[in-house]
Amino acid sequence: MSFLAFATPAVFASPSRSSSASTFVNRHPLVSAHKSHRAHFPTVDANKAVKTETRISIHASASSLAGKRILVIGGTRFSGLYLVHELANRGANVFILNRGSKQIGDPSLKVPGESDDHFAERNSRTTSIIADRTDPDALNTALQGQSFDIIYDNNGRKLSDSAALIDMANDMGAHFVYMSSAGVYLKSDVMPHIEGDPTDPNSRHKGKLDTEEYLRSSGVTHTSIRPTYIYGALNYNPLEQWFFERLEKGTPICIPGHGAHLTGLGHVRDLASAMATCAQNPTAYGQVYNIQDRTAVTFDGVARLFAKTMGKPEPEIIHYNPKDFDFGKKKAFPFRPQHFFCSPNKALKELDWSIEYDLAAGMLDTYQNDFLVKKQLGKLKNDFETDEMILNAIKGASVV
Amino acid sequence: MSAKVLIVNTKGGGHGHIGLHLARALLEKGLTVDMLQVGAETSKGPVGKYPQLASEYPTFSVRYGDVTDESVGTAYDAVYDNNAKSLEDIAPVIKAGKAGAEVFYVSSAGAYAYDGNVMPHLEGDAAKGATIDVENAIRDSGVSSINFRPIYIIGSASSKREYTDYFFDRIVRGRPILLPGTGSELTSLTDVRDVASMLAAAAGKGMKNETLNVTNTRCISFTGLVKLCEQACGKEAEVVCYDPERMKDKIDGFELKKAFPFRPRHFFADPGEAQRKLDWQAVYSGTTEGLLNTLKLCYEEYLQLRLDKTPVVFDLDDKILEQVVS
Repeated sequence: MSFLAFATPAVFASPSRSSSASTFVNRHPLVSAHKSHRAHFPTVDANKAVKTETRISIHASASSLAGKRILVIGGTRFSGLYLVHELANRGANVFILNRGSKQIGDPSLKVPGESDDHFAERNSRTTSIIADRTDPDALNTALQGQSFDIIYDNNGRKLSDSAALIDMANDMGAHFVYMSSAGVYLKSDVMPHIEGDPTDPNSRHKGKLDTEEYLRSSGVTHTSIRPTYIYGALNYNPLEQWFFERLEKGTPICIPGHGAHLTGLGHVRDLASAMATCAQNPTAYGQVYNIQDRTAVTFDGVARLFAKTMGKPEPEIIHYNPKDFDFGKKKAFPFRPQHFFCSPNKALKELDWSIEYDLAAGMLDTYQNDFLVKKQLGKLKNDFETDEMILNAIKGASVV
Repeated sequence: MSAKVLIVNTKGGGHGHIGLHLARALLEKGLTVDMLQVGAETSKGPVGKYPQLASEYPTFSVRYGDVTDESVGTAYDAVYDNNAKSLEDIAPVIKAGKAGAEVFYVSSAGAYAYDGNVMPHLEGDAAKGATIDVENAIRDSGVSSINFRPIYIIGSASSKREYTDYFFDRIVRGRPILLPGTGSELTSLTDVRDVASMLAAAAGKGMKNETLNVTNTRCISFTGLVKLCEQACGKEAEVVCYDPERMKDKIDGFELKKAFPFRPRHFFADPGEAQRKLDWQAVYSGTTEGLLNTLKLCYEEYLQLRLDKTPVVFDLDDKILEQVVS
């Protein structure tokens, strides 16, 4: 029979093969087939701090950046730090622009689990450029005569932070990759946030929106990355730490609202690989990408899953109405009490990227490589003032 | 001669109108489509629209009857089963698969186990129930199938109108809309044309043993859904949230299923796999405006069927309201 409708007529003619396929769908080819979709939380020995092997990106050979000159602004802290590591792993010559507070080779620039040898090797391909990024003249002087293939702006908050750099990128024909934020999306009853959704001109991330607008109007080759909540070891936002400290203490977890608001977490290493994979990738030119896990988590779920990670029993959760309290300048809870999550499906579809750190793996990383380390060093905050206020009001007695 | 496709279509319920729209999508691709419609010929619902489709496409024909080896046969290049709930139901389709037909099965995302911590449902999540048994039966027989898992489907010629009419009934009659829980539970509504386009996109692709969520790329909160229905109807409504657990205690014989047509919890799935593998998009309902347009279409049909004039019993609503006030 000939089949008019299909380009490959053999499809219908071939007999179906017998199969012992599992019920798991074929995943993205670059993700190991044995790993199940849904995070399994193994029981953890809470006292054991495990140094994980440096995970050389499985994409390292697939998309080599060998010979590329890449400038990173904000490359010494959290996401920038992992990005530099990822870019170097892919063979790039990385240039970190900062004010000089950290030298190349500073141990604080090592990625958790990274060996000294690996660190030393990539440092030989990493150069420091000292300048204040908010000073266009200083930038010009520092970068004069230099040309880069890709420029990553990891810590621009408003247009005036980034405009001069964008103009420079335009002049030198570099690909400008901008760290924006899913915080720019307008709150909606319809979820998840997908690229192209309306943005909020009144959000506190307005500066990022302005910068994205300038990226488009300036004509520079660019890509914009919108992560939701980034987490992982070395997070300077005490998101995970907030939960770990309370779970460690055994105090009830105070969660604003009904606890079923869904939030989007994305592991910092997956963010780094997504950003690295954009480098001079024409598919990514002019595009915006949401980056987070495919899975969103409820507030109650975050507490429960962190408890599981720590090997602790299910926590007592207290729900409260945040409007009943005035916490002053203190942050009573790490997430805003609304549904806030994005779909990473555009990035998963268009880019050579897959999510390596599901919730189980990600939470274990931040627990072992961040919280336990801080605990050993006596560096926990353990500020339970807002919890006391809430618990006193609800239970009528001090329980902290 | 174009490829010949059989659709085995269920009598009614939430999946009933998939057959009609899937047939259209396949016919538009130039395929020859036979419909094996379980049950009798009728002028109502989606089945009532078959004659019109047949007049548009001479390559479309319908038979009414049971699903048997004879009625299914082994002559098709592809069989879409939008019916099987048991091993008995699927057996003739498995036979067709063994004879070389591509098999597509419309399963259900209702089969996914509910983990209160995370959403959306992903293929590979634990799942069980009648449709999973059918999925497994196909696989165990050695026949490859593509299993599609939908959630709530709305749209033209729906055979289960509850998902929209729960809101329309109350809005047009000026009654409050009762929501179990907080109103911020996220549910999934998909235009049947988006469901049909994904199912049709798989034809002839040569995919083997896949499971795909066939749902909207978006979910919506219940209060958000009320707002869209208000816009569709051009009339505002009052929303009252209640605790269904409390109603179980206070109201004799209270069954949430009777009070509310949706699962009273977060319930949505991620169709990302289908987006990647089939280059599919929820063209009709994948945006707020799109979803609103679908609801407007449903409301138009609601009025055409004069459902705004039909007497509706609100006894259970009244009992719930009594408890909420007290």
